[in-house]
Amino acid sequence: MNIAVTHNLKTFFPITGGIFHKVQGYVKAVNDVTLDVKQGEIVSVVGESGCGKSTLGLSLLGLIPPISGEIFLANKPIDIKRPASWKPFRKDFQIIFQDPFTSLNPRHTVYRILSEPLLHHKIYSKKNVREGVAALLEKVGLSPDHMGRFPHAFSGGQRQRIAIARAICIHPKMIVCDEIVSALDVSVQAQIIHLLMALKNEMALSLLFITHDLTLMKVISDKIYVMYLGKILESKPTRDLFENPQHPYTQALLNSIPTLNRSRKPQILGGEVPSPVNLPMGCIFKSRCPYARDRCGESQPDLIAKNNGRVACYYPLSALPGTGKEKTDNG
Amino acid sequence: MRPLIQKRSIALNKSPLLKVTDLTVSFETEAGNIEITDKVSFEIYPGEIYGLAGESGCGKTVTALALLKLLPQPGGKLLSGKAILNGRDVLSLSPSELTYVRGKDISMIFQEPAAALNPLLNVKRQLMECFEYHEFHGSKEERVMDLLHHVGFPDPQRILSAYPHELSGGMLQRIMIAMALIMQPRLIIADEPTTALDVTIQAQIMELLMEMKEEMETAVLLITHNLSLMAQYANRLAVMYAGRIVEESGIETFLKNPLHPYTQGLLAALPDLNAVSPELMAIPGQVPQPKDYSIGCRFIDRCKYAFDPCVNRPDLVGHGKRQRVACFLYNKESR
Repeated sequence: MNIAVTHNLKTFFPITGGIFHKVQGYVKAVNDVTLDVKQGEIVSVVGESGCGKSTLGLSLLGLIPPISGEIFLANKPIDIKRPASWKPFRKDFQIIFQDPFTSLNPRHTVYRILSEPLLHHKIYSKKNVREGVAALLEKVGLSPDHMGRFPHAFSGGQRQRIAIARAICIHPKMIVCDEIVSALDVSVQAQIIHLLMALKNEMALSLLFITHDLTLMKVISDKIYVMYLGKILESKPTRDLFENPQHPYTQALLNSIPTLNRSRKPQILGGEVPSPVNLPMGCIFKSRCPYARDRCGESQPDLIAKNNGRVACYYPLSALPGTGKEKTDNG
Repeated sequence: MRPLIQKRSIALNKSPLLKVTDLTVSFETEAGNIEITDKVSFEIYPGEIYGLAGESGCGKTVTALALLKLLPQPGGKLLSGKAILNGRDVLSLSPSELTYVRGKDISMIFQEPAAALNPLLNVKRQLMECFEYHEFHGSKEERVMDLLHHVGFPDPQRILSAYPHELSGGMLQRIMIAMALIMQPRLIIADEPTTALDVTIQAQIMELLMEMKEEMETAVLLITHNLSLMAQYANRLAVMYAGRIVEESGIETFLKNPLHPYTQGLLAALPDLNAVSPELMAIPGQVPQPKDYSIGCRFIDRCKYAFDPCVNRPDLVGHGKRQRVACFLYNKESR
């Protein structure tokens, strides 16, 4: 069952200028994105900074209204022109933000941060909400004694635990996790991921991870969408993506991640990333693609089904001679 | 293309280029003076890439800033330490003498290029500023153009007249690298040179830095929290934890045989791209806050091997030929 679906979603930010603030152009942050998240699935959107992946997550939840396209949450269509149409879904669709230092109100105690949603959604009554908050804190590995403290008294990892508690306290169906561990130290990252995975299994959550960390996603996610300049270039089950990338960009991403293996040299891409305001003619990855040909300069390739996933490339790697990928595809 | 450098005759003897001993930096806070780094000592040899790794707040950037006397003011204070470069203690130089060291002997590539460059001046102004302090024979403009060309700009003229906001993060970082290379320094301090950048751009920048290093025979002090990046590029590295170096070794030895329980944990916490069914290991607990720094081993609360001697300060002592570790598990005399 699909829990969240987008069809051809577009979110543009107008750029204004001049004395009358005339719209001079658009930053195409999310440009024609089609994506689905199934019940209990961990899906990740991976891409470099500025590719629009965070905007995609926020648009899905209506926090930045998209300008066109369709959204279905829990199989019900959303009227994207009306911000209020997301409201009935707020309880079931939660978000955890990247920076735990700015996503918690510094003037509210942990008790207030966590009791507010519990009371609002009538999960606990005023009388016993304190027990509820205590149980929540224990669930995320904090002590109930921490209830009266303010966020500044906690470390980054502990704050992210509070943010997780806030997201799960009303038993959502899905959580959007926007770079939730990138602000944390490596030694604490794994703690937070373990916690979230345990909660996911316990509560049958669906998770949409928005991240630039492909290595981490290899460990936890079921399906990966690779995003570049507002567009999805490739989507596939995680294992397939790592074993058999089809888009040259996916391949470059995988090959340029530094690893502990010293003998493996990263792949170096030339060229510059074009500006999302003035997208070039043709394929958006053309300027950096080692395999670009004439046809790539004509139009942006559509995202078409290929093997196990979808890829937006005229010359996917399995079709290229000499990449050594032909055999793996046919056999 | 003109040769970019005059070949420098490097002495083949193995004397260190920079020798840092007992560097202790304190910061003034509401809670009093807090020692952010505690007796940090290391040596960098000519032409090598020496990595300084550690999590945020462990004191690695402070160490680098202290070497150039760029500690944030007010508050930052150098309590003790020496940094011998070319037979002189850099840390005892006066501000005016330091001007001649910065840029010429040691130059720095800062963490966030967008914040480190002046938004009001064009690239040319900022690159040429270096010549106001250092003697240079030859055409200055040509030198700058050559360098920009080398760091991968096909049209240096256009870049020279651009302002930082017109350029992308990757381009700004390449300008920072060009700037650091102008006077052919003996040592480049690269403080998280690629943290603000994406992996594909990161690979581009690191490759460039390595190329330049080879050509100019410069040593690089590479500061990063990214152990995979270290594994890829560093020759030797030191891992810092809570203001102290806990382990130092050659990179291969480090990857194969990490000694300190913290570094073992760090390596295990990294997801491995090549593993078939990778598993994430977590280190329990939190990094201590500087105000809670103790005299003893600062990893004690998170260490599964902690035992009685750990309440004392572990010294960084040699282990085998190429490793140093600050842990009582290896320090037989203290046991």
